[in-house]
Amino acid sequence: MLINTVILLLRDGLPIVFMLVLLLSSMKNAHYSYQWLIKAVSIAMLVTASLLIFIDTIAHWYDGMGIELLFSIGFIGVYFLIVVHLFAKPNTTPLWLKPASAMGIFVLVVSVNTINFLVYLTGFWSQTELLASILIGMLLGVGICVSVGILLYFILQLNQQKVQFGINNILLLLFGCGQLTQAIHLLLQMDLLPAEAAIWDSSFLVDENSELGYFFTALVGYDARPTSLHIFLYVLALLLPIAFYYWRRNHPNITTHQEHN
Amino acid sequence: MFKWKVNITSCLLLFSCAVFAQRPEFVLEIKDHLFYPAEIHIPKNKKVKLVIYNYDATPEEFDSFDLNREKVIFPHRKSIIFIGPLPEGRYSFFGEYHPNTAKGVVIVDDTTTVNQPLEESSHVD
Repeated sequence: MLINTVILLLRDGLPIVFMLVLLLSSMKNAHYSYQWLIKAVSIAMLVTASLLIFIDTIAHWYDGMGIELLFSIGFIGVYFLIVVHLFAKPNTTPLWLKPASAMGIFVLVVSVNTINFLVYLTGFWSQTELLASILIGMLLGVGICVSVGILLYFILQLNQQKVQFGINNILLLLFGCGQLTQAIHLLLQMDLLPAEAAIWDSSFLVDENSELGYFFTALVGYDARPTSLHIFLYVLALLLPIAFYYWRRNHPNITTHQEHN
Repeated sequence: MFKWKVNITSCLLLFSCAVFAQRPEFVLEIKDHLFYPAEIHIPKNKKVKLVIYNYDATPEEFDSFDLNREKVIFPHRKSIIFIGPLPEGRYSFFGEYHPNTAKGVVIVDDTTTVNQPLEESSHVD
């Protein structure tokens, strides 16, 4: 149960840690205070607690696939909020847009990723003989997640501000694409998207069930056995915002003119 | 405008084909942190519906790296997962909360046998 708790915590905790590090770095670069984080933590706690109360009922929706439906909407929401966050600039968009999108991303990622672990925790909480190993496993898991998060944060801060800004934005976009692939997985699992066979199997290089696999899955949505639909949507989700960024950079007059109107 | 209409119609058709297609149904049960049956035979290159009943008092998470699926099944509840289409082979799955005991394998071959759904017990909604 100890190892199991550590694995579950790494799987569910790493995406939260990566999101938090990337958002903290992004908001620091944009010279915002930590006010948004305090509000986001409070809202995330409320949303997660409400979800935990109603999760059994939600699980029953849509012929037993209610959680997948809700989470896939959440994952898609995270991607779009990340795109909004990346393009929100004080001189062209409302000032509140960047912190509001950061809060939205935080709330969605935290509530979607913590709920499975909380179900596990509450399911076994009453079994006192397992309590010690679950608690030690949680401590170890939280320790690993925090260490990885601190390391990533300081690696991001090492670079010059302009380089750091670029790396941070690319990582945030890749994280968003990863969240989108989670939604595709769930929609395939619900039979709402047409299924195909995997195009390749790279588990001999990086197994999804390994430490490195957890790391890359959480950070960039690594999938050892992707389908063509996964690859198409991932590349599209990655390239569209980049293309829009370069288009906007090359046509500053058009966008500024439209925004002023 | 016409192109847009064609594209929207194609998307809706694709979506509805996936949603309303009839899938062969297979039943899996969780009892005492074990999967029954521990081996399921499904036809190759076909998407199938896996109905999972959890008769235990604790939740379990159906997890499979080979099948790329994971889903929490609440105590005394039923859940559905669609898997496939898959080429011939063995695809292992396990219970994430009890990985040492809850283990099983999906064997994809030419078999066309479809398990009959069990009568839902009063303990499972």
